[in-house]
Amino acid sequence: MGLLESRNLTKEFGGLTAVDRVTFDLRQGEILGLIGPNGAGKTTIFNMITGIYAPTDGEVFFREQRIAHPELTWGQRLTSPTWWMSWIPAPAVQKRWNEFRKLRPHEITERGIARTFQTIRLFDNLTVLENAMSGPHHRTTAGVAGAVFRPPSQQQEEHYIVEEARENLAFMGLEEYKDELAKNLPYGHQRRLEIARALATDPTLTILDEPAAGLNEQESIELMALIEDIRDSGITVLLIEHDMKVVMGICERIIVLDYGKKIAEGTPAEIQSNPRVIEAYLGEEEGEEV
Amino acid sequence: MRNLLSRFRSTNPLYWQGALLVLAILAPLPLGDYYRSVLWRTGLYAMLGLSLNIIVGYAGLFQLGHAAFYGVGAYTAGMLNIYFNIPLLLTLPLSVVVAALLGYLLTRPILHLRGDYLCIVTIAFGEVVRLVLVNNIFGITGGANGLSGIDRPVLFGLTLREPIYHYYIVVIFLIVTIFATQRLQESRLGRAWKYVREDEVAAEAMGIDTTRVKLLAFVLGSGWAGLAGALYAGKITVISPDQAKFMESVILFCIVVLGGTGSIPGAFVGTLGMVTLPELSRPLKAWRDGWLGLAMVTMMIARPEGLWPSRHFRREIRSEQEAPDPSLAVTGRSG
Repeated sequence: MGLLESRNLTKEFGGLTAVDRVTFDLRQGEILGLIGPNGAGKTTIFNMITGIYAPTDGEVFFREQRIAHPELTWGQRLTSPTWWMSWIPAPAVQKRWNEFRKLRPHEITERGIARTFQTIRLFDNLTVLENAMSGPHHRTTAGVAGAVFRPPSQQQEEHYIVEEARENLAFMGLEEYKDELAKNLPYGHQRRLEIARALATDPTLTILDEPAAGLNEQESIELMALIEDIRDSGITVLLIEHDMKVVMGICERIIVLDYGKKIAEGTPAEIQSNPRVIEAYLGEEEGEEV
Repeated sequence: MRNLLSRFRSTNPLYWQGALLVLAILAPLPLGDYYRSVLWRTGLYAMLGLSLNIIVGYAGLFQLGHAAFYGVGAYTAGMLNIYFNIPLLLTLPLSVVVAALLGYLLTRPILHLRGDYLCIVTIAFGEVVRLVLVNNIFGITGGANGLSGIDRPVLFGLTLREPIYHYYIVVIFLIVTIFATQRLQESRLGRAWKYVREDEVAAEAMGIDTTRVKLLAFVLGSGWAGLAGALYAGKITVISPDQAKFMESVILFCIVVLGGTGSIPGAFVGTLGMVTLPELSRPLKAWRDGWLGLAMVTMMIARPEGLWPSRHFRREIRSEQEAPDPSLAVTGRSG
C-alpha cells in the first residue's frame, strides 16, 4: 500500500461535481505532482485530504488509516454502536470512533500531513519565528499551569519549540529574518515561510498548494531545489502547480485532472506526450465551441 | 518622547514595577473613604478588564456578555454566604469555578461562530443570565431587588469593613492577575491564541485544536470575572441583577478596546477612562453618558489601536512607518 491513497474521491458542491471519482496512490518518498487547468478540482482534493471538506463519496487512507470519508447522516450515527459508545475513553473504542467520525484539520496535521495554502495564509502580524513556532505546538503539552508557574519541563519545552522553529527557518534560508513581521517579508520569502511553518509540524507528507505561484524564474529554481531537499530529508511531497517547468523538473510522477476527473497519470515524459493532456491544456476544438 | 519611553523601558523592570507597587499601596492613605472606594472600583474593573482581555485581546473573540460572569460570581458568593453561611473568602474559589463552568457551558455550543455572529450570541447570553437573575429562578436569587445582607469577609478574625481593606485585597488579586496574564501571553497557549486571532484556518492546519484553545480563553476569562464578582459582593454586601446588565458588558468591552486590545497597561488606562473618570465626574450627571459615545468615536478616528496598545500592535504600527531594511519593505502580495 502507498503512503496516501485516494479511493474514488468525489466532492459535489450543489450540482457541481468538483472532484469526480479520483483514485491515486502516493508512494513513500516521492514527489507527486497534481496538475490541471483552473477549476479542475486540485485544491478541492487537498481540502478533502486535510479535513477542511468531507468528501461526498470515496475515502482517503493515510498510513493505512482512513482519514477522510463522507460525512455521516444522523440516521447512520444513531444506528451505529460506535457513535453511542464514543464517550468511553477505552483505546479500542476510541480507535474505532476515530475511523468513524470526520477528523478535524488539526488532527490530520497531528497524524503527519502538513500543508501550505494557495493564497498565502501566514500569521501576518507575528514574527517569522513566531510563525514557525506554531509547528511544534501539537507535539508539546504545556497548559495554563505550565504557563503561569513555568516549571523546568515547560522551559525545556519552550526551548525545544524555538530550536525546532529555527531549524526549519534555517532549512528554508529564512533565519536572518526571524524577527521580522511575516507581512513585511517579500513575497517569495512569504512562500518559503509557509513551507517552513508546515515543515515545523514534523510531517510525513507535505502538501504544497502552488508554491511557485507568483515567483520569478530565479525564485522558482531555488524553490525546486528546496522541494527536492525536503524530499531528500525523508518527507513525501504532494504538489499542486501551474508552473510546468517546476512540475516537469522535480516530479517523479504526475497526475492530471480535468473537470474533476483524472485524465492521465505517469512520468513527466509520458504526460508531455499524452494527447488527452495536450487537449485539456490547449483546448483542442471539437466543433461545438465557437 | 520615543527616546524617553525606550530608555524607561530599558531600565530594570523591577524598579518601575516596585515604584508602581509602592504607589498602589500608598495611594489610598491620604484619601477619604469615598476616594478609597473609587480606587477599589478602579482596581476591580481593571481586573475585569484583564479577564476580558484574555478573550478579546489574546484570542480575538468578541464577548459582549462578560458582565454576566461577573454577576454570576457575585451571586455565587452571595448565595453561598447567605444560605450556607460559608465565610466570604472561602466562597471565592467556588465563584471562580461556577463562573468558569457557566462560561464553558454557554460558549461550548457557539464556538464555531465567528466575528459579529459570536458577538450577537454573547450579548444574548449575557441578557439571558441577567433575566434569569431578575426572574428569581428557583426563588433563590431575590429577583430584581437582588440579595442583601452578605457578610463582610473576615481575615484572621478581623472583619474587613473599611474600603481600604477591600482596596488592598483587590490590589493583591490584581497583582496575581497581571502576573498570570502576562505569563499566559508569552506561553505556548498565548501563542496559540495569537494564531487563532490571526488566521483560524491556518492555525487549524498547523495542528492547533482551535476549539479547545478558544474554549480555554472563555473559561479562564469567565472564571476570573467570577472572582471579581465575589470580591464585589464582599465589599458592597448587596448584589442585584444590574451587575450583569448589558451596559456593564459594554463598559468592560470599552475598557479593553479603548485601552488597547491585548495590552495589560491598556486595561488600566481603559479603566481610568471608562470607570474612574465618570465616577469622579458625578456632578455632570446625565452628561457623563455622552462621554462614552464621544470617547468611542474620537478613539476610532484618532487612535484605533487604543491608548496604550500592546507591544504587538505598536510593533505593527512602527513597522509600517519605518521599514527597517529597504529589501524587506515589499509588502505587496498577489494571488
